[in-house]
Amino acid sequence: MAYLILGNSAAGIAAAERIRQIDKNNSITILSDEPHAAYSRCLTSYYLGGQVTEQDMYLRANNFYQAMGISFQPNQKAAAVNPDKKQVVTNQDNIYSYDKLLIATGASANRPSLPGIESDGVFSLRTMDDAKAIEVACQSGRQAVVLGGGLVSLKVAAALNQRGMNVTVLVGSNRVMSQNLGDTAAALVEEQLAHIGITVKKGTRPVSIESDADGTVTGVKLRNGDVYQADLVIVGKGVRPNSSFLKETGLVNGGGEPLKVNRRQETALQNIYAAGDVALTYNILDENYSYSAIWPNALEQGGVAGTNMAGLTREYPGSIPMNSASFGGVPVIAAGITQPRAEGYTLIEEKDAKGNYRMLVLADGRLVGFTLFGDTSRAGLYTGIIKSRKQFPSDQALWQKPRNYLSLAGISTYQ
Amino acid sequence: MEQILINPDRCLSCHSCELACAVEHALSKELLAAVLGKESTKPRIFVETDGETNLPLQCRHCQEPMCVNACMTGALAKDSTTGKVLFHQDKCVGCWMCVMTCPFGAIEQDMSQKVISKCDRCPDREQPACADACPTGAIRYTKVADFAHDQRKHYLTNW
Ligand SMILES: Cc1cc2nc3c(=O)[nH]c(=O)nc-3n(C[C@H](O)[C@H](O)[C@H](O)COP(=O)(O)OP(=O)(O)OC[C@H]3O[C@@H](n4cnc5c(N)ncnc54)[C@H](O)[C@@H]3O)c2cc1C
Repeated sequence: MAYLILGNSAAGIAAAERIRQIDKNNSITILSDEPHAAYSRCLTSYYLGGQVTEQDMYLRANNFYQAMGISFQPNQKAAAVNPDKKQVVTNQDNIYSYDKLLIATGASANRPSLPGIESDGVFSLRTMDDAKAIEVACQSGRQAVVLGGGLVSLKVAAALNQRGMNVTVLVGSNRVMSQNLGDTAAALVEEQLAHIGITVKKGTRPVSIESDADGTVTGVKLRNGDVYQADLVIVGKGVRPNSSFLKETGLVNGGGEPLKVNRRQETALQNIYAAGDVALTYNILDENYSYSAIWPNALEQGGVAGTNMAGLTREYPGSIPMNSASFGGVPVIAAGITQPRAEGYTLIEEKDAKGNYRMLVLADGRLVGFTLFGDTSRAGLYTGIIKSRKQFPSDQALWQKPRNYLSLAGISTYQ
Repeated sequence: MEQILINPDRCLSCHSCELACAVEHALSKELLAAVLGKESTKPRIFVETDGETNLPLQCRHCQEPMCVNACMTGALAKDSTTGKVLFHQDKCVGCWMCVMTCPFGAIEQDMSQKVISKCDRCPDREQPACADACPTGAIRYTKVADFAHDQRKHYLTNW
């Protein structure tokens, strides 16, 4: 029996650890197209902001692979999978055989097809090497423009701001974090960004990236003709699953789509599993699969895949969309359905005198989503009752409950 | 494997556990210094009450901890031998992913240091300070037999 894992990050490492827990003997091989031992890409913005060192980013001890009996193969990019021969070929023309294969190749930053996007000084932040390259670029300029107002974009903006850059964020929609936050919460985050000195321009349509004769970026041009001067441009326009190498297997069409899996994280092909940002996630609220590329999902799905690959049976319990961020030291946490679009939802919100904001989305006495800004204490109690689908006598009753375990979860669930 | 077992029926909400916990986690481990506020120390156990039921609550060291899955730095980890959910403060960046996912709300945010704090089961003691201090037996530290897997699960997660 040979286990082969493509991807050396949250999902891949979780799977390898779980397999090793269950199966002490058989070989585990991990391939990565990056040169580094497993690190947390969520920390790349913290690295840029100077809060953590490269060493801090590594997820496991130096002797991890050896101690776990894992063969780690860096700089091996999977180029094709042959399910009949049970083999993976890499760009370096190496062939790896498997009995059980996990695809945990994650995702890459989207590169919109803007004229000039290939100019020097245009970056995305996804890998440790991206972070280092941005760090170097910061030394030769002060003006940074960030395209996109999502979570990762804002994290990069805050990191560059912390490095002393002048940062402008160009957002297409009418607010920041439009995927996660409604108007009120987004406005609160925007206030924080302004407070720390980040300029946010909303409703903007970049049409090209301007560069000088050497091909070095000079600015970003908008549809209305405005040009924002830039020494450094960060493109934060979401991610795309790393699945194109699977085209010939039929698991994907063009590539760039997420892989379909079942609750055991099995793909449509026998002995091939998928987990993390490369795959769809089972969403408890929709009772269906959607794309939800977050760290906890990758870790949990990797664990489930590993369990099944090692011969035990385990189902992914499902998750809900959620995220946490802080700007100017003020935290914001949003989870579940935060912008209900259909009928039948009640949205209740309040802002207290200290500037804390709480918003709940409810349906038939059940919590389906929330946003907390400022006071985010014990947010997991809300996440917990969304997931457990606990029902309260009414939406109002749930809204009134203090944020403690006894009121929300109740002693009956405790013992 | 030892576990902290809570019996809410016995809890009188005297808050002795909170004080003992705060003292244990003060650098000096001395009551007077802790009480006089010379040292900043906070308990990692809280007694909740709804007027009828009192519940001492701290990190349950879950079998399948949500916080560990959510931790993007590796600061939280499950120790497979002791069953403890360990926290390495030097790796914490205050992203609050664990706060977002702990279904017990048992992880506290230290907003000034930008790190979390939670029950560590008192590594320097035979028995956690809260269990030692509890005068009614509401908090007990006992061996949970390995075979009583269901029972353990029952006490620890129940989600
Ligand atoms: C700046 C930033 C901040 C973030 N912040 C948060 C946050 O606060 N909270 C949160 O929940 N999530 C956050 N995320 C998202 C989180 O990082 C991802 O959800 C998570 O890393 C997904 O893990 P994964 O293992 O599925 O894939 P990835 O982490 O993308 O890893 C994929 C692995 O596969 C390898 N690989 C790719 N292609 C190939 C190939 N063809 N052959 C071999 N190996 C390959 C890569 O080298 C890598 O090892 C953030 C992401 C970024 C970039």
